[in-house]
Amino acid sequence: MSGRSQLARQASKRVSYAEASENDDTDDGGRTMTRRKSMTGAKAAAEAGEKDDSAGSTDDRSSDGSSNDDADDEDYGARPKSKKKKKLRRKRKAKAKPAKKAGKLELFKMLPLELLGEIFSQLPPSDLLRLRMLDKRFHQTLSAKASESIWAASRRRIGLLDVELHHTLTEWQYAELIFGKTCQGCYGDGIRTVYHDLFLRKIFCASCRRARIVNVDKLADEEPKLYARLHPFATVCVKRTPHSGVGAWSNVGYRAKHKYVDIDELQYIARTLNYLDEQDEDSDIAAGRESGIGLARPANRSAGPDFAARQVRSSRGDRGGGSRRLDDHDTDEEDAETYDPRRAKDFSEQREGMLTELTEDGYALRAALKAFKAAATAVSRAREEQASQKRDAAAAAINADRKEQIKARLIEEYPEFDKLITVDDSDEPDYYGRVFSHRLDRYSVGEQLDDSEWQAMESDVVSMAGQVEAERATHYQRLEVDERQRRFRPRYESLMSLLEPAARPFLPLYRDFLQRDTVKPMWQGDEGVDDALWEASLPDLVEELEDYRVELCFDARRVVLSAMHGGDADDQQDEDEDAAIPIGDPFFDRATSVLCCGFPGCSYPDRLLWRRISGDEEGSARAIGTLSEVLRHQHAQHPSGGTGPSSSEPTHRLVHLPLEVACAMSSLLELHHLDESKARLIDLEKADMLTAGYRWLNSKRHKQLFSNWLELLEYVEYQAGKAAKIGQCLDPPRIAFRSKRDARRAASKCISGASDEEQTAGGHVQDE
Amino acid sequence: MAAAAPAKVKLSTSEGEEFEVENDVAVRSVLIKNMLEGKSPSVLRHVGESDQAIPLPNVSANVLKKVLEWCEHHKKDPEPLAEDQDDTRRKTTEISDWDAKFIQVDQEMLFEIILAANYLDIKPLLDVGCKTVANMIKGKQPEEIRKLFNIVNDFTPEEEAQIKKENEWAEDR
Repeated sequence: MSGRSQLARQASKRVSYAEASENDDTDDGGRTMTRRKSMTGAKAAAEAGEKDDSAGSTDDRSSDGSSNDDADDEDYGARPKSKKKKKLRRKRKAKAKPAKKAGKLELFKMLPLELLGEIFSQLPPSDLLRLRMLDKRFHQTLSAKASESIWAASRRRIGLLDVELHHTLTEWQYAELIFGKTCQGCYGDGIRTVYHDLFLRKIFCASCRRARIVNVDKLADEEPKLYARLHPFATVCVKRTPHSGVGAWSNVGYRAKHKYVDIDELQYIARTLNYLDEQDEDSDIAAGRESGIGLARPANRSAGPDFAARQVRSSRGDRGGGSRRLDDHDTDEEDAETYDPRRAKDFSEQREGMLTELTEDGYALRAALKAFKAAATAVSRAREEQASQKRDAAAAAINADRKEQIKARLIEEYPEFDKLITVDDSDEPDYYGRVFSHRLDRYSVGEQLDDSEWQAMESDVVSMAGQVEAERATHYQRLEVDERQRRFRPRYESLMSLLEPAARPFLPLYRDFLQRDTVKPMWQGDEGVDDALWEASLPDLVEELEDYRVELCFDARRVVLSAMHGGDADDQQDEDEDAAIPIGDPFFDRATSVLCCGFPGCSYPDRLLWRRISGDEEGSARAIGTLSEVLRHQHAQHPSGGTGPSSSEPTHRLVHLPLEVACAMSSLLELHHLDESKARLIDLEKADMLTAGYRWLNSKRHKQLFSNWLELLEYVEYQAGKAAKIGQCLDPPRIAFRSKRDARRAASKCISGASDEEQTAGGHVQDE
Repeated sequence: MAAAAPAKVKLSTSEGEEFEVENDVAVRSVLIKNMLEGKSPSVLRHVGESDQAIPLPNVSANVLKKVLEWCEHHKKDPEPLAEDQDDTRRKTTEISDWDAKFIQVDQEMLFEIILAANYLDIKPLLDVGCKTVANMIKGKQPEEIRKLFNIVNDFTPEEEAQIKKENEWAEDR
């Protein structure tokens, strides 16, 4: 078994993702929607939990509802109460606070329908959609024909006007199409971003959209299997949209080509057409004619949608003569000549008119939506203006004299705040003085300050002044520490220059360096560091730094072994524990010992930006590479510890290797036919130089093509990090060459280079 | 012909308590206005001409007091034109500061005010009541709204899925 597949197995063993995806469905097109589904599953579970809670709360009120609660308590009692759970409970309690409001509107259920309608028509359509799903009674009320006026009033009130459509929508369908939040692919609730396609009249979440919307022109390339068995008329009979399945939708113009279709609908239409063909065949047999359908139907690969279009055209042209023969020049294929789908042709002609109307409807709906958005923007602008006018009025109402009186009164009675108010040092910006002054605004509205007013506000003003004074003290303390550290920096620089170039990356980052036991007392002292003390403490320091380096290397080795070999890492590591690790340890030159910078916030997009700014397009100080390279990257990009660790956190914990990156690296090595146990990173780089790039075959994201190994691994690490945040893990990445030529070259190199070795099947070579 | 309206009108609540109010306060109610102008059903015609109190059997004393407080404050409001009345009512969602303070009452009172405003045909007050209730519902999640109304979700998951499907537009429906 190949090393990569072993790793893949390990990955699925070690992570919960595989379990999460067990229940996931695979759609007909063979596209999985695993992540989104599992997420919505979790949300649904959470909601179900909420429902249970609420049911519990209603049960409390009823006399017989205690048994459920008891069972719940027992359940909780059996498990240890972790901090997390306590936190969760606290959160739930906080959430449950509005329970005071429970039943606040209970009486209003009894209002006569016309009055309920009055209330409902004051709500926007998005709220009506939610109300409609409350219970059966609300659903019945809001779905009745009579309640269309409520929906219409609600819609008009927010500025969404009536629109004349060829194929009408009910009012709630219209509201759902514009404001609905339920994906009509997976029917998951609580999805933050959904896309409303007014041409398909569908709402999709990002993942359903990606899975279901396909470019009909590229169907032959992207879905060859589906295309091959698709009815030739299917693509002309299906609804089309100008909106693709990925990225943000631009505001397409009237000339935009409608070339995207819903793959599910396409398959449905194809099934209908096949059924019509079967009917043709049956009636032919019944009439004793030789059937031209079925056996003679041309494969789509050869005929394609063009064939369908020609057939429709020809049937229209021939209608006068009563003959349904194809034009002579239309196709050369005999199959196609005998294929005469009568019912399918009629069906597609009927559909053609309807599809045109639907497209017109789509544009009409879009225009209405655009007008609504413009109206909403105007309203929000007017509101903002009103708010700013209010703010201006409040600012004008502030009495500057009164404010000064408050300040004077404060200093008179509490002289310790003198500094806060009368700071007048030209070197020092009076930031905190201004902050305090600003916070006094709310007390400064009105006439001259009198004693009773001062007594009323005194405690508030004093506590506020105390707060600002504390902020001020912390600020100056921090400034002082920064200044001391800045003064100590030349020592660090000189130490760095004393080291060999190969050892320099192993020097701790400055923030960590300052926390070394030998170093700490030197910069924290008031008098600063003299040369003699520095020289004297140098041997101790060098020893401490060497310990730091060794510890760092051991830790990095542990990270690599645990990612690459899973559970076996511990044994191997114990054997190596006693051996010293030299600076140029060949272990870290191996391609499989690749490491990633673990600074929080050091992500793929940030690195791209950093490279562009620094002009270092090649990425010489790589965030992913050998240990030494990653450390150099950290010295360059996170010189003072960056946004990353707190000062007490040592750097060596910040090198990591996600399992997905390790798998991707194994996959790359296998692709280039390099030996995992021996290949160095430099070997991979050499092989990489000759290739045009890679394709991440099972990437869940839109980006699948990468120009080199580094970009690929950085992106894998980025996606793995995102998945880890929600407690998931990516499938082991399957990598292929971007171009066929690279795949052929790698295969031939493998045959010529290792004739005696069993040639592995090019499972990763993408067959295009 | 309708007789000239007297300066004061007597209103009698469901408990039989009588309130004497100024004419221009009382006519905020379209029901009372019609009675005074003689447009009301024959039984009640000329009721305004005598000293006899106008019976309001659906309104209790404390609610009427509250309603009259609103009418008193709004007695000088211009009457909206009949044709754009509907439009303006619906478009403005905000409640004036005074009204917001006025309507800060418990559930029962708010409920009664809405019923009374509907019975007395005082559209602006009805709007204030309805908007207040609507504002309590606005932007809330279904579970929160269920709690507010004290109702239980009686849909089975299958029914819920079916409804979600029905919300979609389908060609063959």
